[in-house]
Amino acid sequence: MEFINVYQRRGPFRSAIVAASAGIAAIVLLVAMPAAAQEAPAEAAAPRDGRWSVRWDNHPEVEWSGGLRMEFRARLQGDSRASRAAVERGDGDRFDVGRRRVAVDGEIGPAIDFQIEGEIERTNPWRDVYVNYRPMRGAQIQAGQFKIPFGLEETTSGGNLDFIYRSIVSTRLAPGRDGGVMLHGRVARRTVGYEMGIFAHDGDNARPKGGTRVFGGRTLAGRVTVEPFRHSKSMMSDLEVGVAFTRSSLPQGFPAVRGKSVLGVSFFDSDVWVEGSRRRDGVQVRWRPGPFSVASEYIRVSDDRRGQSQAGTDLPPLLARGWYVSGTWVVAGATGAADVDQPARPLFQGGYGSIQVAMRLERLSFGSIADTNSPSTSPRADVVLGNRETAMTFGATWHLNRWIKMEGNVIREQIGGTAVSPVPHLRVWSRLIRFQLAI
Amino acid sequence: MTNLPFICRASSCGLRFLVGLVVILLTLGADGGRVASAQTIEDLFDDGTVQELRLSINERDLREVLERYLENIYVPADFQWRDQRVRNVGVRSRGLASRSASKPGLRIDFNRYSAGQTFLGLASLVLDNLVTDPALVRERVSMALFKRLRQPASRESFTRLYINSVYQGIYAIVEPVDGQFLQRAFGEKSGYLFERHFLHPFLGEDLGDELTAYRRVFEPRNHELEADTVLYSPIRDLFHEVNQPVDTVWRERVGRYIDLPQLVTHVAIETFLSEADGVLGGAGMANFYLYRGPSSDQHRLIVWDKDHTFAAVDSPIFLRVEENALFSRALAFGDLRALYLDVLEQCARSAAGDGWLEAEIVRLSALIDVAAREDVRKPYDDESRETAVEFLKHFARQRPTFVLQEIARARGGR
Repeated sequence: MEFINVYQRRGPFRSAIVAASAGIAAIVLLVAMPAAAQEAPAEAAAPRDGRWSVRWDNHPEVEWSGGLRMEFRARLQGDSRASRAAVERGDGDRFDVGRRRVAVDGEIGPAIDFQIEGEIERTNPWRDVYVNYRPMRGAQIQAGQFKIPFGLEETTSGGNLDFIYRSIVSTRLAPGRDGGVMLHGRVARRTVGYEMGIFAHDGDNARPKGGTRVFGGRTLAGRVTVEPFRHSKSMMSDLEVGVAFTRSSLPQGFPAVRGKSVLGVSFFDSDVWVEGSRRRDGVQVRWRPGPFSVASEYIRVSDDRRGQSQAGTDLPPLLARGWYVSGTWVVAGATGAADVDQPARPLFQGGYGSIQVAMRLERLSFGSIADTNSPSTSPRADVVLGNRETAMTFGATWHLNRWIKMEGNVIREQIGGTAVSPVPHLRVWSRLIRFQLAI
Repeated sequence: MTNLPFICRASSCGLRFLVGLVVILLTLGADGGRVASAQTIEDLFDDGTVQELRLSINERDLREVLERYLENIYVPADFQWRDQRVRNVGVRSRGLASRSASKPGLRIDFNRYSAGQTFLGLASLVLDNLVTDPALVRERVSMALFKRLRQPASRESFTRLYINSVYQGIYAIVEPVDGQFLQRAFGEKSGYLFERHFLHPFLGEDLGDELTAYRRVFEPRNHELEADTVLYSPIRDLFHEVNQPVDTVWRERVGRYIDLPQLVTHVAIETFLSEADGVLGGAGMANFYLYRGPSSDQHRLIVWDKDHTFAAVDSPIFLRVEENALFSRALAFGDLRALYLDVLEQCARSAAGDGWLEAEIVRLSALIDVAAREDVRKPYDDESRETAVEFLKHFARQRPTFVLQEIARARGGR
């Protein structure tokens, strides 16, 4: 058994007691709070002077009849991890209240909506900060800082994921947030969605946490999604497929896009000279028939290495590729996978919430196009000696009610090919527990 | 029937043709084999040839190596000798006083980026820039004398070095002291190898019980991940015992940790060569490796970097002996002192016999003359080189006589 509960390394009783106490107290409090809050709106929603209304449906909302509506949201997460692998996220081996986010989103008049989201106690607290102008459904303009339209999972809110962590391909290869302007909308009776924007850089996922590594400059991004059976009554009506791309300029240097495992173990440092342009291409598919859901993505990032050989000639691009396939099954408590976070009978309201189980298989690999030359770890190798991680995640999520959920994931990670390989190699099990309150 | 003779003649011609063809093919095959077998490590270190090495380094990396030549920054390169090309080798600036931005000394690690990659069986090579020796041949001649006295020493040859097709000057290709060297010299390589790491002068004093003090003096070149107690306890014990009172117990105890006759032989050769930067160097013990065999506590010295030999013809044979705790005590023993004088005498007679030392200097200087003249990056002009070579020849003629006189005086004084 490869598990080593990291609590046991640093005083088993103290850590366990702190974690357990915090968890139990939080659950009891947070289960009770929203239940009470849910009953409050009827009294609070009464209009004041005929112009203001306050209510709490999914979230607390304030509305002014003159054309302003604001919705307040907050999310609190706490994680517990046990792994034999070196852990990067949070404090690693302690119970970690990882995320405390607050957000305001709303509408101004009939054609403008906005969102301001920040994270408490972070060096760079701002997350989504944008304004969206929608003169018509088929053509809207969004400006500010928001997620570049690339990646099914990356552009899904963290609170709505089926697993505790996003897949490594989404975390490492999808661009994430950046400042920019985007034209988007849905056309053809809403069966086709499109997003096309220009951004300052290629997203915060591609940016170094520190140091001098390089990332994409001005970035053109686009995505088209199609729901070909949207208007049918068949099980296929929810099927959505999409393709996406980004194109960025890339200065000379070592790229910040690196190979790290689910818990942050580095398996490919990308100590490879790149220069030229970065091309990201992605394919995504999602289907949620009844209590089941299937989702999959493939992402490929290609970094040019113009003039980077020993002789100053071009080298084949540095490639990062990855995919995942995930599936979920709502075992009980909700009518379908799409509304598993809205249990029909919440806990303490005549039911026990909803329960979903999930599984995901994923792979992320780095390297270059193989040819007859021997691969090398040289920063100017024509054939880069790459590395890869394959991970399998088993998960279960218990939605106590629409605001609270508890998740457990068990992850089996395999880094590298063989133990004698000159690149990092590791096989490890990890287990994760998260509770989340989102109002 | 009438055609039979013709047929026979035709057959005879055909046979001769076939035999001739086979001979030609065998000749070509043998020639092909010769070409292939010519590219051996012996040919790389052929001391009658100036080799030609070519490195291809990205211009940005080359700038970085030259600008930050005092640091050990590795950059990738492609290496070529004759028709043998090794891709993705690691190259860095090397040396201590010899570091140079205009003519950098280089270390090439063939396996830096490609695990297990070697060149002619070598994992690495040193390219000595020779900038501290105006004559350019001190290192080669000194190593040759060590070998004549049956002391293991790095194989060397001269080379023209080209980086990105630009001539960088005359360099010495030096076989590094590493696993391959140990295997060749001692038949095994599993022991512990340390390089004298020159941060501060060290004269063989007892540095105390802290092993880290010895780590600062002797840098491990293998077994780096083993505990300091494994690596350095025998070295600490050596210098602890060295600094005890000199008596019969001293000899036994110190002899357990260092091969004293080999130490005396090593120093005697350096002394004959008037080494200014060796075991009895002006800045303390320098320019040697320590090797401790497997399942043994006994160390021996391996010679390294002899660019500062030939300091003075009349350099005394006991110069700075008293400053060194280890060597001064060793020479207190009659047999070791006698061995010291014997080796010095061997050096003198070997150098003077048939004029070997002077002939070697003349031969090597002539060998590199053209390459040296075309080397515009060397810090000395050609006139200085000629003057330096003349001094070396003078040393070769006069030093044996001087040393023999000193030996006679030392023996007479006993």
